[in-house]
Order: sequence, then C-alpha cells, then structure tokens
Amino acid sequence: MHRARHFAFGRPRAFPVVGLGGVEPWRELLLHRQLSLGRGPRDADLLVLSGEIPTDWGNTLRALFETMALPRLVLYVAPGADTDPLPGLPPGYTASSVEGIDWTLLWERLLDSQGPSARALLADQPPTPWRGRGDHGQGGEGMMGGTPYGRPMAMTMEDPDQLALDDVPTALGPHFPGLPSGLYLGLRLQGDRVRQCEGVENRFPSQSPPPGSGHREPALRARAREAVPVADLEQARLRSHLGWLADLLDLCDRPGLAMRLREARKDLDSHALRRLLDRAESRQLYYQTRNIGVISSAQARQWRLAGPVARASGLKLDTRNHDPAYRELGFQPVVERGGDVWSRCRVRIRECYQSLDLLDRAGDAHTRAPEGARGSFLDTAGGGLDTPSARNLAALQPGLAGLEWHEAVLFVGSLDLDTEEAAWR
Amino acid sequence: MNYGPVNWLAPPLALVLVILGVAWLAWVNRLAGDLARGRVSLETLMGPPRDMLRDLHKEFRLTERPDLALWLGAPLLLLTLTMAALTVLPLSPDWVGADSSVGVVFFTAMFALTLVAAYWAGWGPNSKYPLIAGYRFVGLMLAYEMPLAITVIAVALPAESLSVSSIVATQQAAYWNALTQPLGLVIYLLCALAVPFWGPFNVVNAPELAGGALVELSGAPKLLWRFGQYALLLTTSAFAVPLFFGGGAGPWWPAPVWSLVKILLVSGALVALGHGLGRLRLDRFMWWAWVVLIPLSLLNLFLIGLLILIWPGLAGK
Amino acid sequence: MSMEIVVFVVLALAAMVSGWLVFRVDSMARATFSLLGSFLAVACLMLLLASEFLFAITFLMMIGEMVIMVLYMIAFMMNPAGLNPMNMVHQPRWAAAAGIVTFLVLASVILVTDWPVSEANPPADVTAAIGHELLGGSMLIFETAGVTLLTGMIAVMAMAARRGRFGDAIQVQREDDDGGGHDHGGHH
Repeated sequence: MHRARHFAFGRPRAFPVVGLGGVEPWRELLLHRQLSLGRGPRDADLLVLSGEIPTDWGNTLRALFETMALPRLVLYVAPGADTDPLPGLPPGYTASSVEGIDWTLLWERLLDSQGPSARALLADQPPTPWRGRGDHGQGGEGMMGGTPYGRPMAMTMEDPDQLALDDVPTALGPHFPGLPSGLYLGLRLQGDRVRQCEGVENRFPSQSPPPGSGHREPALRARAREAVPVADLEQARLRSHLGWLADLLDLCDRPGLAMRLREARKDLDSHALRRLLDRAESRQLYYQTRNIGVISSAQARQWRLAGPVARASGLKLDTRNHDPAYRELGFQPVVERGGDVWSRCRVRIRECYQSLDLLDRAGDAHTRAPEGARGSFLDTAGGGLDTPSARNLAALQPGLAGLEWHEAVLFVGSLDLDTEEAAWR
Repeated sequence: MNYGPVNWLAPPLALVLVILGVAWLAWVNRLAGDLARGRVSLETLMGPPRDMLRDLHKEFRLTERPDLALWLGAPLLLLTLTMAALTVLPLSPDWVGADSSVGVVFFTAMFALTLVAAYWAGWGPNSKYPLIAGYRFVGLMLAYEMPLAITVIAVALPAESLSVSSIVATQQAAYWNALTQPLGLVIYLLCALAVPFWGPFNVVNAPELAGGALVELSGAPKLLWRFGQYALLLTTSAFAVPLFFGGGAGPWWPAPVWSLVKILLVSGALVALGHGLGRLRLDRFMWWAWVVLIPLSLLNLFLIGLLILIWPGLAGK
Repeated sequence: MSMEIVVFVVLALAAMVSGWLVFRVDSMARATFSLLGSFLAVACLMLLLASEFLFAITFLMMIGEMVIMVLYMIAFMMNPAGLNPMNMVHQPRWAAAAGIVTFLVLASVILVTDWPVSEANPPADVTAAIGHELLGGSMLIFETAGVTLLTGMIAVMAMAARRGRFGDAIQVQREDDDGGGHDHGGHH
C-alpha cells in the first residue's frame, strides 16, 4: 500500500505562485523531470512558491492552499531568502535552489498523512452566514438584493438591446495558471462575456528594482547610462520572449511545443530555436488569435503603451532605433499594423528571429539603449523609474470590455505583463 | 420485438472491453503528448497507471454549496450513456448486445445525453470556470449533433435500414461506406471528436478556463470523469467501424477480432489527431459546424442518394 | 409477461415521481432535469409498446429541449440553484385541486373505456410504416420544408454570430457608461 502511494505520487503536480525574483526558478523547475504541471490548484500536489513572496499575500495563499486536495505540500524555492514559512501557511519543504531539492525528503513530507499540511487551515463554514430579512429568509429589498453568503448578488443591468440580464461581479487572477502572478482583475461578466473591467490591481509591493533583476538587468543598466553589450541585451530579450511564448502556447493548448521551447531556451541553440519558432508561428496560432483585443494606434498612443504591444499597433517606438551601435548593425524595429493578439505574437516572434540574427553579428558592440523585452525603461519627472509593464497595464481596463472569456485570457496573456516589474518605482 | 433470452455475460464482458479500450487510449494519448514534447521515456509507459493510482489516492474535496447530485452524477451519466450506446454496436452478427431495428438513431440519442452530462459537470461544482465550460459545450454540441445525425442517416441509405447490423451486411455485400461516402466519413470523424470534447473541441477541460470542469475535480470522481471521456471517445470512434469500415469484414481472423482491431486503430488515430490539431477558437468551430458542416452533410446525403439511384450495385442490389 | 409488468410499473412510477419532484425541489436546475427524467421514462415506456423509433426520437428531442430549457430557467427564474429558501410555487391549493380533479377525470375515462386490443404483430420495418402513415405522399414536401427551415436558422446564426449579441454597441456603451442602470423592479 505504501509502495503504491509512493509510486502514485512519483511525479507530483505543481501549481505555481511566483513572487519576487521567482520567474527563473519556476521556469527551471518546469523543465525538471520529477515534476509535472498541474492545471489548477485542486488537483495539484505541490504549491510551489518560488521567489520571495510578499507577506500580504498570506491570506490569499492560505485560501488557495486550503482548496488543494490531500496529500499536499508547500514547496518554497527561494534563492537566498530566509527560510521561515509564510505566516498562515504550514511549513513545507524549503530549498534555496532547484538543484538543492532532496526529492526523497520531499516525498516523505508530501505523503505524511499526519503532517501539518494535512490539517485544515480554515474553518469549514461559509465566510458569512446566509440570512436575510424576508419571511423565508431571503435577503434585502423585496425579492431581490441582499448579500447572499457575503457576496454581492448579481443584479440586472440594462443592455443596449433592452434585455435586462444578470451582471456578475467576479475576478480573474491573482494566480490564474498561465497569466502573470499577482495580477488581479475585477470583472463584471454577463454570461462569459466581460462587460467591463472594474479594477486592475497589481499585488506586488512597490519598490525599487533589486540588484540582479535577471533578464531586465541589461536594459536597466543601460538606463543608468552604462554601456551594455548588445549580446547581453539581445539574449535577455530572447529569453524573455521565449518564456512568454511558451506560456502562451500552454494557454492555447499546445503543451508539447511549449515544453520544447522551454528546453531550447536554456542554451539558446540558434538552429533549434529557428525551427521551433517556425512551428509556433503557424496558421493554427493565427486562427486562434486573430481579431481579438484590437488596440488601434490612436489608442496605443493615448494610453502610452510600450514595447511590442505598441509596435503591434503600428507605432514605431523603439529606443534601439536611435542607438548608433544598432544603426551600425542595420537594425529596423519590427512593426505590425493589426493591433490584435496575433500582431503582438508576431511582433515578438519576429523580434526573436531578429535577436538571433543580431547575436550572430553583434560581436563586441556596446549600446546604451534601455530597451527591455517589454519596452523601454524611462525616467519619470521625479527621477523615478517608469517601467514598460506599468505603462502596458493601462491597456487592460479599456481593452477587456466586450471580450469573451477566452479572448480576455488571451488578451491579458498577449500583453506580456511582468507584474513584478510593473511595481518598480 | 423479441430479442431472445438475456445473456447475462454480455454486460460484464462489455465493461471489461471498455476498460481495456480506455487503457489503450490513455497510453496512445500519453505517447502522443510525449512525442510532442520530445520526452519519450520509461515514464511514457508508467505514466497512465501512475496517474490512475494518484487519482485514487487523492482526496475529493467539496466546494462551497455544490449540487452534489449533479456533480457526481455527471461522470456516472457519461459512463451510463456510453454503455447504453454500446448495446447496439455489433462486433459480429452474433456478438451484439441488442440488434435494434433503429440502432443508428438509438446511439445518436444516447450521445445526446452528453449534453446533460457536461452541463451537470459544469453546474454541479458551483464555480465559474466549470460553469462557463459547461455552457460552452452545450453550444458546441447542439451544433455538432446535426451533422452527426445527417451523416449517420446518409450511411443508412444504402442499407435502406436503420439497423447497424444491416448496414454492416450491406457493406460486406457491396462496398465499404468509407469508399462511397468519404465526405461523410470525414464529417463523422470530426463529430466523433466533438461529442467527447476531445482535442480541438476541448471546451470542457479547457486550459484557458484553468482546466474547466477539471478545476474543482480531484480524486475518484475525476478519474471517473476522465474515464468516461475516454470511453465516450472509444464509443464514438467505435461506431465508425460498422458504419464506414465494414464491421468485422476481413480475411483470416474471425469477425469480432477484426472489429476490435479496427476500433482500436480508429480510436487511437483520433486520440493522436487531437494532439496534432491543436485548438481553434470556439466561435470558429461554431461557424464551421453551422455554415460548413451541415450543408456539406446534406450534400453528402443527396450525393449518396443520387449515386444509389444511378448505380443500384453500390448498395449491393 | 411479468417482466414487462415490472418494467412498466418501475417506469410509470419513475415518470410520476420525477414529475412530482419538478415542483418539490427548490433548484431550477434540478427541476428541469427531473422533468427530463419524467420525459425519458415515458420514452422508455414506448419501448414496451415496440415503438423503438419513437423511443429514440423522443429521447433525442427531449434531451435537446430540456437542456435549452435549463439555460432559460437559470437565466430568468429566481433561485436557480435553490440556495435561497423562498417559495417557488404559486396558488398551490388551486393547483392541487385542479390536479386531483384532472386525475380523477382521466382515470375514470381510462378505466371505463373499452380499449381495442390488437393481436397483430408490429410490422417488420416500424420506421417505414410510421413514415408512410404520417406523411404518406407528402414526404418530399416535408423534407424540403425541413431543409428550408434549417437553412433559415443557419443564415440567422451566421449573421448574428459574428458580431455577438452586442455587436458594436459595446464601444458605444464604453464611452458613455457611468455605472449603468440598476433595475430593481420587483419583477419576479
């Protein structure tokens, strides 16, 4: 019996929550053969908290961990951070790096049915009781209204075609699998169509960029007036785009190609990458993503969008265009006119080809263009940092209105928001 | 109608065959996925039994105020409708559950129950992602049921009978329907993918809905749901064999063996195709069903009718 | 013979009980599926009458109808999941009285009538017999009408589907929306 259990959980399913600096450890963990990726938290075995998790996520993560079916365990992968468990979560298994994980010990803790992870964290009752004012216990004014179980009741809204149907307040995020971690979108749905996006919250704490910011680092150093090798900048861009493309392909239900991209991303083998990018940029992806979430160039200008998102709407915004080193290499910014999800995908894929090409020819050239993968890092009036992801967040609220659910998810994915970066000041 | 004495061995035997078929499909699916990832290894072999044991050891956790009767009834209904549909599948003229004179309409009616099962799987958990998934499947299935029904009638036309055994007999006397109605075969196979929401039609377990109906399922009910989905895929593709591929026809081996081999081949091919085709958008598929497939299936019906009027030999007359 | 009686009794009871459940359960979803259960039990009763084609067709039609009905019930009725402890029936006493009277009238009609009993076997091809009986010489007209109706439906769907229910109106609403109009009404 015990051996059957051990065999059954030999490849535990992981559900990720990515914190500060946690993107790279999670990507590395994804490639590990001992782990498989879970779709949602319920069926997952491991709640992987990679990077340093902000402490005010404790309540959300406690509720998330509680939805996981037993046996379950928290796996902290936090390079260099302290090893205290997050308040509210039971102690799990802590590792400072992916190589340092002792899988036997992990399995032991996972399958320990008497351990702290097996106990209930929350009381087994609804957060607020159901009680109203009516004769039969119904709530509120007359037959409608009230707050059943503490949640706002779906009221009816007048529509352009005069039908008064329900308007459901709900949320997308903050830990939706496939979308950036910490992004909370308050939506009002009608059926599966988003009427409007009420609020966009980035749950990462505001702070200045830490030293060693991974693949944003070359662009940040360029902003600080340092001369950065072109090869570094382009490699960082390539890594970022490939990671994003793999996540998007997972959302589009092509996990095979996504996994191959992730593996090729590790050592950036040019030949293999070109072949994989050819396969990714297929008619299938085109049909799946075209005409969704169109952002016109006027809107892109008005909302001050950045990077590939702006370039996909026809704006020729690229700081590399004005840089002498790039001009010498014959650089032309990649611009598309469609403004839909497909255009944004195509811009990034073409930029991958362009980066591979530049890497071959760059040699020892140095540049000062602060062009990160998501756009340029600018200075604000007060001397602070204006990150491209923060600017792109502005596209969410107006852009989501009227989209069906699957279109909304693809739209958010296509913006390639880095929530940690968006919180930098 | 008198079907003779009840053979009490038949239901357990059918269940055993379905379990073996589902195991085959689970392995084919795993192999296709690992080939796509480039990671074929021993894990490909160990994967499906491991997943099955894992589901058995995992706890089934309730959501807040679920409709438990409908939620747990969904996988049971899926399995029940599959077994009911298999009643009219002939592995050979003697090996058939009950050779109903309206077998073709009978199994189409059983497949229609998938609507109910998927709706229950969406409504039961009281959670928004399964709900959206269930509703989307209702829209999809209503669209794909029509080309299925029309194509199946076109298959019954040469045999001038709605009984599946007569369709097999007609094919064995004349030509396989795969040769005389290739368009019908393609449409039927597409609908055979749509009914168990597989591959391109995977709106029920969708990744952009965080797993759809699978979001809140864990443990034994999840295993039963996935089992039911595989069994339904096995059944829809199994019916392609007597309808299009001549049933148990073939040299050397007895008819039941040929039937089973063909069923395994067709269902394996459909499972693998699910991986290759990726997913297209729901609105694209709705458009395809209503604007393209239904007219094409009507065209197929008219074509085969015309062909039989001109060449009665096509129907073995 | 006795097996048929047993099956008949079981199916008849199932039909009646699920019909009664339609009005007893609070959840609109469960009510609709109880109604479906009742219809399917009646369809199975047709199997006992050797009407296999009618059984299969009734099955198909009732499933499609009830699933569409459940969508409307959830959309328009209050208390879709039965979580609100409210009374969903109206005028229960009048309805009960009318039900009992109807039952007594129908039962007496059934018991008093002298039903003709046929000793003939059902025809070999039941479907063809039903087809000839119902449609006779007008088969082609009915088929053509059916296909025309289908074409009309598809055309409507193709026109409506592209723009969705709101079409371009979402843009308009986005620009002049300030929170929309909540309609409390008091409708039920």
